Amino acid sequence: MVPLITAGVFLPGLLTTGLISAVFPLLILLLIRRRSQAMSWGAIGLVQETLKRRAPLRLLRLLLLTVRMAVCPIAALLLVGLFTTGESGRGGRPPIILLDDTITAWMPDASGGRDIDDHLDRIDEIQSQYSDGKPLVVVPLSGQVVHDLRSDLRSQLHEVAHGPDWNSVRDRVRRFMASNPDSKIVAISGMRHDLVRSIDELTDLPVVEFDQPAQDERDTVWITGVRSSRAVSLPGDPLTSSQITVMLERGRPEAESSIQIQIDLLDSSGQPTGETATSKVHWPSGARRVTASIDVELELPESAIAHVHLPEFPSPAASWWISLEQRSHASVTMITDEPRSDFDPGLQSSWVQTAIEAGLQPNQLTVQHRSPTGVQIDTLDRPTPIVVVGPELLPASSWSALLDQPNSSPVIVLPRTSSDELSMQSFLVGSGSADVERILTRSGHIPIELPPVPSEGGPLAVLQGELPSLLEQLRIDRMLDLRPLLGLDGAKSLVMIDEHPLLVMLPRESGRSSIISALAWHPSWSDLPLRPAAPAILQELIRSGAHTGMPDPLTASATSGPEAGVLDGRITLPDITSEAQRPMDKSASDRLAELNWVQLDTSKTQIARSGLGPLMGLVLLMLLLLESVLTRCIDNRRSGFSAVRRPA
Amino acid sequence: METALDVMFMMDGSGSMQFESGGVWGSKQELASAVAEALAWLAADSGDRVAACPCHVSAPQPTAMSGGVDGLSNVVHMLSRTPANGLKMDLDASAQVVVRCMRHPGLVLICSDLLDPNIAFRRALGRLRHAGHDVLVLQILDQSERLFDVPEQVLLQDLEGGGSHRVTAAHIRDDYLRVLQAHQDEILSVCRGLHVDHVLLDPHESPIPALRELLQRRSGGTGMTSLSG
Repeated sequence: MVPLITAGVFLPGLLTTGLISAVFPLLILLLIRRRSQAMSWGAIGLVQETLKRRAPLRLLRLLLLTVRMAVCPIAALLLVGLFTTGESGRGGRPPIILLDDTITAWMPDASGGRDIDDHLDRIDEIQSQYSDGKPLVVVPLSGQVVHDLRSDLRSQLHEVAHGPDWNSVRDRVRRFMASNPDSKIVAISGMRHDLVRSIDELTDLPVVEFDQPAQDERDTVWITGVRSSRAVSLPGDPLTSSQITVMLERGRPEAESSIQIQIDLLDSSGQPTGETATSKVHWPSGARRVTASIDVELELPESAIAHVHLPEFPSPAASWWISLEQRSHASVTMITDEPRSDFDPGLQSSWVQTAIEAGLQPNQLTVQHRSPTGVQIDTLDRPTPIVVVGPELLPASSWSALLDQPNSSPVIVLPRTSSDELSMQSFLVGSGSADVERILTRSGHIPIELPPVPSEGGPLAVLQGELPSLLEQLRIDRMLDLRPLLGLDGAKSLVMIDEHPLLVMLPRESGRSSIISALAWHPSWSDLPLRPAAPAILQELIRSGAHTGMPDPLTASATSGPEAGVLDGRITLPDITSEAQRPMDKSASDRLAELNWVQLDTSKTQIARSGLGPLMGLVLLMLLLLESVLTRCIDNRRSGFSAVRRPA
Repeated sequence: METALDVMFMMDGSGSMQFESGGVWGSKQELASAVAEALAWLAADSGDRVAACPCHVSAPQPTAMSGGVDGLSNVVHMLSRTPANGLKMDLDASAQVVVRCMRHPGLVLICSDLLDPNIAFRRALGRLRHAGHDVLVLQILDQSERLFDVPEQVLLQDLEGGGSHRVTAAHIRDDYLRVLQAHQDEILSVCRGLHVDHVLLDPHESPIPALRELLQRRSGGTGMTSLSG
């Protein structure tokens, strides 16, 4: 077999040469035609009669030309097929192997087999191609050290229960590359962990090939990614819940159906705990990829492994393990006198997640409902986001205490659902200004479009840029008129097209900003969708207010179903049934292809191994036979014939 | 006592007769004119009346049938006129005119390459023979036409304005020669059927041997060089 790396360069070159050479017969024909001389001819009638008789022969010549054009590409395909089937070609510089020995590689699949065994077999296969006996350089992704590259890898690697150590991998690869600058890198992985997500960290390395089990293009479903929003618990709830997002891909999108996803909980040693959760995912007709978010409530130990699989499609590609780590809790404190039932629990959950994503990491993960009279401001010293619903309920002293705490997390102010007229006196005293006493609510149907592009920089600019993709038009029944606040020092706003501010942010010297919303986030005020728009808005508010600047949070904030939401900091579109749907996350192969990685063991190679070579050989043989027959047939028509005889 | 013979030269001046491939006698047209002039002189010298009729115009006007220097002068004058390029031969129409003009059965010489479809040739020959004329066919084909001696890649342009064809000589030579042979066989068959003499001339070769043989054949081996059979 051609060495893996040289094959990556040589075979495409051979194929390209074969394709280009297809035009040679045509070029020769055209060049000959260009060289023809013009000549006046008297017996043109005889020539016409001759050409008429030769019409079938012209077709044969055309067929012959086509056959000759096809010979070179078919020969190139045949050679490619031979090389990929291992008929010839040895030698070359051994590559550096990135071996996936992370947690998922050690997990047994339904048949008891493990990816790690396949990977090691593959390495043996690659090693056998290098006859000089020089051992391959193998870098385990887990960070394990292989001491003696000449001895059996199996005896040196041990099972690990963690993911890749990219820093270690990068350092070691660079060290090897320094002594062998021409070596290429081959990654051998089942791509069932988060390797793809970390590829960006590897792009400065010349990884050109990867080995992944061929995906079955028959009607099967496989898992292309799983991520967990980590464990969360709600107040007073004995169970611990987690949101697990599963990305599925289907070989042949079929009619509308539903797929069952099962999540089995394992302890840190991989033993089943008996905890199981199942969920049905609706698969729209024609969709190739579906992303499902599943809210599971499992009694979690501190550290656990979730085995996500599809019982209807028992294959290794439909099985995924992910580590669930119970993080320290976060909280969003909500100060309101409104009943808790008025708030969407899913929305609350999103707020909590958002707090985690924003990097606040407080030690409680709760949505605390506190009445204004019962709130003790001095206990709110943790860096948590605070949502105040009804700012007029807090006395000015409380506002001062709240806003003057040296804390980077923002105070988000929403009007009460029942507000007809809002007094901002106490809040503004706390804000250091008493210029505005009352802000009246506007009423009636006010369709308001959002500006299409950000008009200014600052923390609200991102929101202003993203909201038009979430909300084309907002129907507002009631809203606060926040325009008087725009004159305050340092005030920044997100202004709608009718020039009314939707959000106003007022900074404080303590670093803690307050963000006032013109809308109560309630259906009686506007048709602002609680999902997906509201979590996205809140996420950006908290993130920008907290100045965390975290560019790429790890989890999704959409709480159920493959609907629109925010994933990886990007807003995703809801047209899941559309042919032109934008996938929420690209499959591993797509992302690798974008980075110019070459798949080593794809289904294409499988075709080459199983049928391409012999098929091309047969086609080439038939073409050569056809060429010979056609040439002979045409030559026979050209049997010798002398000049016109003179009459006796 | 031998009476004077009326001799009519039907001259093909169509575009194809302008073909020339470097033969010592020039183009087919030039060879035809030279041969016709020689035979006209021979006839006039023998006391025969001579005339000429073009075959490449729609309304051919033959010269007046007369003997001596006048007749010869008329024929030479008509032969010296260079026909316009791109003309087509209409042998049958010319034969009708000739039949109308010649009051007595005489000798008609057809000087042409006969590359047009043979149906017109057959009809013209039949018309002339039916009128009692003795007919002599002088067919002129260039060596290149007979051998298809052309460059390997060639764009053949019709001398009679019928378009052009790009051909590879090696590909079509055999088929061309087959078509030409069939064409010639048909001409000879027609000539034999109507008891008409046929002579094939080539601008690359001297016409004298062929003409001498023809004249001897027509004189019945007496050694006299006369056109009358």
